[in-house]
Amino acid sequence: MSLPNPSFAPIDWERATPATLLERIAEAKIVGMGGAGFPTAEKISLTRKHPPNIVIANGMETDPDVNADRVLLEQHLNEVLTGLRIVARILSAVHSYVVTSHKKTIQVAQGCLNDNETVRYLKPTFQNGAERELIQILTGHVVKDNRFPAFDGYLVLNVHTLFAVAEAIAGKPLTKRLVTVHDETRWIDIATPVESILESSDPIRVGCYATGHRPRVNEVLTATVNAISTDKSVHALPCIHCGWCDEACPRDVPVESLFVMAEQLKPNLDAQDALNRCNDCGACVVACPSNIHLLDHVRALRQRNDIEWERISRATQARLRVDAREQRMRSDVIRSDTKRTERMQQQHKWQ
Amino acid sequence: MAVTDRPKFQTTGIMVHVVIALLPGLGVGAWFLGHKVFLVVLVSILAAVATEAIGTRSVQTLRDGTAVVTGMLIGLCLPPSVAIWVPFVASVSAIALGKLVFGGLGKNLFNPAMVGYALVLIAFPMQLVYLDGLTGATALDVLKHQETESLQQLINHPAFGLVGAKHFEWMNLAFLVGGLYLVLLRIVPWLLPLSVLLGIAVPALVFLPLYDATYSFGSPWFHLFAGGTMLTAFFIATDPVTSPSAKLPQIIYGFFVGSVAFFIRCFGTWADGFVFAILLANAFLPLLEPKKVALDN
Repeated sequence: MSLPNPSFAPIDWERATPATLLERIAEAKIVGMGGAGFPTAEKISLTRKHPPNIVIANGMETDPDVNADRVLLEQHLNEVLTGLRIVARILSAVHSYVVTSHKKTIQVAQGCLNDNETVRYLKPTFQNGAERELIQILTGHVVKDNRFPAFDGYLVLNVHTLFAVAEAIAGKPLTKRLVTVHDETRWIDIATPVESILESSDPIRVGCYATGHRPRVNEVLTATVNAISTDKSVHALPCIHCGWCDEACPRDVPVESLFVMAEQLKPNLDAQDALNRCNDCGACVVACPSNIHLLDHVRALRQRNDIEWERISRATQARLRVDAREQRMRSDVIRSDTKRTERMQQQHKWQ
Repeated sequence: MAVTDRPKFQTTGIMVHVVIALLPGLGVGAWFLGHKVFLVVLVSILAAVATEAIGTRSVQTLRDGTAVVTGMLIGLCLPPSVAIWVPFVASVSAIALGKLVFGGLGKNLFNPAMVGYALVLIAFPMQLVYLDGLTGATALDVLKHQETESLQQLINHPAFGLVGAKHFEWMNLAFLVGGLYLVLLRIVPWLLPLSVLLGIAVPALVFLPLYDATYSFGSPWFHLFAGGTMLTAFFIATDPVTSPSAKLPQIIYGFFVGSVAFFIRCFGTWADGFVFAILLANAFLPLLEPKKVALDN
């Protein structure tokens, strides 16, 4: 059932102005469907302010046991390429890339590429799917840690986002997305309750088993979720300190130490650097022989640290406030003392 | 689908592979030392498993398979001539005092198998001497008590084999093969056993020219293929719980284990020093790798 929406008519993207296209993307409320959920229109307009621009279609599937991006590229490669060209037109991008680890897609895509478009194969390791790593591999440019890639003119969009862009420009709203449910990838309506998608006696995770989270109460499928999986960590064994999580981490985060810290159920501010470095790729969860969901512990520690930082900043502010007040009162006392002395001296003169 | 450079293993799967890798050594041991080896190993395993089940009051903790490996290692450390209650005592104390009192799997400071073995080694030393009619005294005993004059005469002693101790060199070779299997599967880090082997070979090489007419320390090859060198290097020193996982601590740990064992072999009271070397290195582990200890701050 779809209601006719006169304002959502198809747009001929090859003739329309970039402003019209951008307006449509904003109107369709498209968000990054790779998981982050950042509003795509904002990301595009932010990148647009920093030309020259390069667009990257991210078809890397780094979540374990997830095939949503691969199946999308098999079924709708043309729409994805259209979405890429629309975004490239908005930005007047100098070059666009499609990266995937699916060799068949590369063969098909190579036949229908323009001059300033490249399709690249990358090994599906954990770090190859991340935004900054992709930019570095494809263009050699290193985005500094404290900058958005948009500030350097790079735009990385998930293939599903580009598909949604193409659909929105064609006048079709996004009502469903590809979700891998227990090794099987299919189209599922957005806003379906997650518990009804995977009927399982085991607890489930929204997302893949490594990076997903436990379902919240009455949680529904959002556009950013690419899998519903069974939770492997319910049968976790104790940690045997093998260090395989440390070895697996593409960012050299001391995962095992973070796990030991997290088990104390306290914040640990010394770990903040390591926690910031972690980008939740889930490599440690895949590597753990005891099926411990290390990412859950890392996230819990991060949350406790956030609360602790908040507490410290509030305490610091309160301290500053109290100090300022004491200073003020002290200066008031000094001022009244000086005044009194002056007055007394004057009175003395009169006598 | 992300790829990882390491094959995916579950903890239970790791223990199954360790048991498989121990089987050649067990077979060769039974071939040379008699079928009683099987009985000793069986009693050790059963005692370890039973202690774990009773101690944790559940059979759920058994599914990780670590009790089986602990029992098997104890059985392989003990001589076949031992009275049958000795492996039982060793296994029960290994699981109870080495593992359960610390809080179970992953929490223990000392290698459980070595705790059990050390206990019976100190309490019942006479039980643990290799005294079957087959071999007489082992090469390590000969080395310690020095009935011979020179290195050459030592090598010609009946307790010595081709390069190492008679019979034991073949057991060591079998454990080496099993250990390499684990290294190839990347269950065992290659650096740790290598450091242990270098830790015993390098001091032996340094001390080799020091022998005189009355005393010899044995060649590096002899030390590598005598006693429990390969068993310790590949199966005991590599216990993930009680060994470091970073590269530099692994080198220090392994070298420490190997060289302490060498010095105990040559200058200590005991014929083979690996058990005490391992326990000593375990005690230093929190210094080598502080992250494994949850410090209360």
